[in-house]
Amino acid sequence: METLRPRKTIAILSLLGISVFIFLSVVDFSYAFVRIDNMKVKLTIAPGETTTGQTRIENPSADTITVKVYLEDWYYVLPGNGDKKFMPPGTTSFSCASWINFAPSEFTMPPFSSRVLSFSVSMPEDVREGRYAVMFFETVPVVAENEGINVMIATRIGSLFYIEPEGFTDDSAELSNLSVKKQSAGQGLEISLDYKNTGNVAQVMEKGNFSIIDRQGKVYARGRFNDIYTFPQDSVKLTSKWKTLLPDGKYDLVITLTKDNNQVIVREAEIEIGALGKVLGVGQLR
Amino acid sequence: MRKVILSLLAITTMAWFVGLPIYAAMTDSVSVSATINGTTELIMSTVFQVDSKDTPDPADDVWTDTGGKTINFGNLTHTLADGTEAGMWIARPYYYALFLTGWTFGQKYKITSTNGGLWSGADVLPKGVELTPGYNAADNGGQAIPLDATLGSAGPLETVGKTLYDSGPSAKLRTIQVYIGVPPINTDGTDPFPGHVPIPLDQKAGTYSGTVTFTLTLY
Repeated sequence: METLRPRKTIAILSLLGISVFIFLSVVDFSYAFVRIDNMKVKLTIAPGETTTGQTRIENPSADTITVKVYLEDWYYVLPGNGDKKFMPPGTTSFSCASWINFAPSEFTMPPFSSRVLSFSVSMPEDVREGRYAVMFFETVPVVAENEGINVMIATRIGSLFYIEPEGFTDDSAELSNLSVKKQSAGQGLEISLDYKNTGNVAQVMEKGNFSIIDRQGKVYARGRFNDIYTFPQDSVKLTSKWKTLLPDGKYDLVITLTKDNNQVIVREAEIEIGALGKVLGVGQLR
Repeated sequence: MRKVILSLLAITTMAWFVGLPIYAAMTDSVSVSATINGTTELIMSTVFQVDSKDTPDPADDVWTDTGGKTINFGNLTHTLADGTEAGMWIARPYYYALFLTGWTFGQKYKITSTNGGLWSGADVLPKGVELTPGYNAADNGGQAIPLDATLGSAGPLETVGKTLYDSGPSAKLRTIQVYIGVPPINTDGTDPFPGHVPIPLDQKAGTYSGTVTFTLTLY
């Protein structure tokens, strides 16, 4: 019975891969695709004002391509690991798709050519929170209508728009429900807490870490939290682990979170470790 | 002639004395810079038709570059290689493969796939078409998948925002493979992939078409 090859042995696949690699090394296997230089457009605009920008688009392939440009809405989905949901334009409460103007929405590009797409973003007067959209650059697939089943293939790159109202940005956050537990398997610790985006803009936190320090200032443990990506009112979990046994005693747990706008949040809590790494107490975050 | 030689010698000597300090100064002051443009691209290969030879051994598979980026399964069959009845429409001995490369110059990215179904007028095929991402170190100069990266799993072609590859924080340049096929039920009676819905033998006849879109976005 034939099934798809991925289910076959890795060893044999590797052999196959080597031959494919050799093949690819001597053959230009790439097909038409598009390259852009503006993957994240972050703008702070005064309400009522308009700002302009540009994205450079390249066709680095030897084929003439047709590129379709269009807008959609997006938001980070829970649990806030960076996954996004794309939606038709104007369908989410965070949409700014209708503020963005550009032209043309479809064009052909000769081989190895480039062009600039200019856009403008007009923020209405009454906006008081962050708004978001994505501008997709999609290669238009060749339409096939052969007998049987046809699957046409398109590729697209998304340029994410983050638009914030100047003078009204609130990037506050709330940390709560700190938990420090001995690992169920092993002698280390499991640390977790809730992070709530209480502000009015998207928040990205990619550099969260903790330190466990004794009263003499000696650092006993250090680790990183998972990266988190939130929209306003999202609550997500920060988790981390420490693998080895801590001597019994009282410590300060210092949590440091750095957002992508370089705002730093520092919180501390006292923890008490007993014999064999048992957690005797966890104080309040302060 | 002697004058010419003397003049040349004089010039050379001057150049030697004058040039030395200049050269010395240059070695101190020359700065070297290079710029890496922060462009981003999702490179897709052409589609390869893979003839499995109706065997479970990939070593005998024959990969043929179709030179295009459409897949045509042609007319499906409902018999297995040994002539027995599959009980559903399947495609054999071919499946299709392509390569995707995300290049974001160190920025974390995800590659996803979306397909709204394969349609013939108002009729849509059940989820019997499979899409599976694969990773092969040989496609990546012998490098294994990064420890913080995640490869997606097998599933139906018809899906929205299915993650095929998550670069993780290291955001390494990597090439993945994508396989698309219409497999039968496994010999042990289990589904060939999670979410599999067989294409029934009484599926309305027609040409079924649709687009699968591979998307690259940053985190």
